[in-house]
Amino acid sequence: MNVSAPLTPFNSPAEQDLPMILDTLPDPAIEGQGCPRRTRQQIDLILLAIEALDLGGSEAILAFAQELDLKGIIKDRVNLWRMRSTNPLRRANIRRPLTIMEAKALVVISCYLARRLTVVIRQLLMINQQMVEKQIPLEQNLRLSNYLERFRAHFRSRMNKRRSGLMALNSDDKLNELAVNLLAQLLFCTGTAGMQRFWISLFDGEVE
Amino acid sequence: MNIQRKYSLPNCTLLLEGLSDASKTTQFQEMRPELSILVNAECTLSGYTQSIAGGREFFESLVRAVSAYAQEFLSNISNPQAHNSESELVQLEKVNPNRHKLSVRSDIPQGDLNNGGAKQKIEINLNSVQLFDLVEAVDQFFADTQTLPELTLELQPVARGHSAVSGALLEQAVPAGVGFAGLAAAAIAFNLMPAPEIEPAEAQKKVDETTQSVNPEVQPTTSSNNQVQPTPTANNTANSSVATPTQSPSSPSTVRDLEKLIGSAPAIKNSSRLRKLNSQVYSQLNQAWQNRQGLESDIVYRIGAAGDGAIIGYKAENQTANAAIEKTPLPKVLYNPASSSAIANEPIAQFKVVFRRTGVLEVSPWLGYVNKSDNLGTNITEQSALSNLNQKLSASLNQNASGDTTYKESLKYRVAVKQNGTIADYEPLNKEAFQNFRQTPIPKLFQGDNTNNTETQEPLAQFQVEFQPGGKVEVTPWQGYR
Repeated sequence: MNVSAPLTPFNSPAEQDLPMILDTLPDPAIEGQGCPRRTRQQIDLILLAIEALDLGGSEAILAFAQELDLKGIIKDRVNLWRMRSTNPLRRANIRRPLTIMEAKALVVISCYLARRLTVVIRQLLMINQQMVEKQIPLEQNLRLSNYLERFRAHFRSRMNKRRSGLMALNSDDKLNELAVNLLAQLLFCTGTAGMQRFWISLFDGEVE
Repeated sequence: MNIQRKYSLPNCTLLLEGLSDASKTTQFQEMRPELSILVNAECTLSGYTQSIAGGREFFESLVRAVSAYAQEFLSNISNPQAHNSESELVQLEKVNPNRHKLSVRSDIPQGDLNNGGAKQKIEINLNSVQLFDLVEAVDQFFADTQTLPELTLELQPVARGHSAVSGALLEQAVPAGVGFAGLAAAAIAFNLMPAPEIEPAEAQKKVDETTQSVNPEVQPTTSSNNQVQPTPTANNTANSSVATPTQSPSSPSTVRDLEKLIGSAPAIKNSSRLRKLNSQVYSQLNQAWQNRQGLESDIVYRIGAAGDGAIIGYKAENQTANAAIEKTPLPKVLYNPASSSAIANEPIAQFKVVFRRTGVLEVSPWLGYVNKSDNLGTNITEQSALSNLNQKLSASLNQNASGDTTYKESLKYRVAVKQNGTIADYEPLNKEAFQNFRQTPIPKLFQGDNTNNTETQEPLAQFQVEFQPGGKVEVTPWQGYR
């Protein structure tokens, strides 16, 4: 079948060498080898939010892959891009599955990056909270508006506007809302059990 | 010994007060004694002067609701456990993406006792950062092995179409009492059976508070019948002295022996449900099994799982298994029935769980997937038709098979074929078949819904199909040629 070619990185012989860190995330009870649509989408968006927070975000993803011994899964920039392009919203959406193991590796890295950014994430969320309460436009805060602007720019340059999921995301306000929601979800990733919680939540409504 | 545990975050402070079990703390050098009996739990949130507090039931409900709602927050998919107004004291609901309503119901009537009905309800609105601090306080509690170690973080994805599941739970709530009565009868019957070996240390746990007595290993079979009565009474006194808001009226705390459960509850035999439960049980245990060293030999248990995957009882299958129970995650993952509706007559699936000395976990249905051919409907058994369809199926599978396969072991399926040669229904028969399904030509050839195959009225021909590594396909009639 046509899906078999990209699957090669993960076959049983390599299984023993997989880093221990991935064992903390249980395998979900889903059919087939690939991750469900919502899982692929959410992982990519969380990474997008990290990139919008941290200018060196995409470099950091690769650096953490090295540090956490996940190079066997996330080999290089191209490899990473191909994994993220399994997000169905992407302009360059690639029809290849995202394996559970690849998803785990991306989740582990997201959570480590989020943890590093905990202070910024918390501050931005507090600022957002105050601005909303006082009904001040979010753009008036420099730090928050920097994040939102970068997120919108990343989103618009990489996502396909015509995908049905994006029809609702055509205005700045809608994208800001998404950006703030992702920020709050990132905060949850920083917690003691944040990694497990984020991982399990990716399969909500996907298991039988 | 009076112990306090405090989990402090910028917006939330969780304070637990309790006692350590005197009989267990023989080692005085222990720096941080285990808080094993919870007397009071208090949670203070920034911006609210009034804290929410309660006893064990409140606290268990709090951690369940918080944990479930955190998942809902992350996935945006409603988690039924977060807002179960029927049975939970604590609920969390979304007001908007940045506002979350925590409501706490107290079962202690306020003011005039004769009035009886007036129940206090506290509502607190949290923003996302406050919510996170609450979740984090709960997670820090879960991570603390010296405080109520029997409560652990259990995460499960919400099932597809969980509404059906919650409906089923409601239906079961009614006959639960009936089942309990039946269970008592079964308990008497099982009294005649020899009791399993009990670890001496376990007996001490009896002095523990209410829910502690829920652990199955605490209850030797022979004594359980005698204890059915006294335990609730003890609960009452304990509760009133520690001011726990409620007692759990339906707590079937003494019915955890697997043999008894099996005796009274219907068995789950449907193979697809068994398969699903099998993976749920596996992932629960696999996740909870932390220390994988120190087993001297492979140990085997028989466990019972309820329809939602909760492990509700276990039984050691050999002597070593009995002695090594504390080295397994079983006591930890055991579902605590006092905390939710009764499980007395829920259908049960039995699994064989093997903890290998090498640290590998194996789970399989206790009786195998016996009923796989139960609901096959009318079958085509006529010889010539069968061999004709056999050839057709074999040809179309070979035609669509790809040589580019990655599986290393052969995949076995049961495949049902209509009279016109199209695939009507299939079922993976081994684990490899389940995992590598997408590599077979079956999904290409099968058009339809595999879930309600039993409703097809058409007679079907049943085959076993085996895909060997490399793409070779073998088709044989399910029941052979006669």
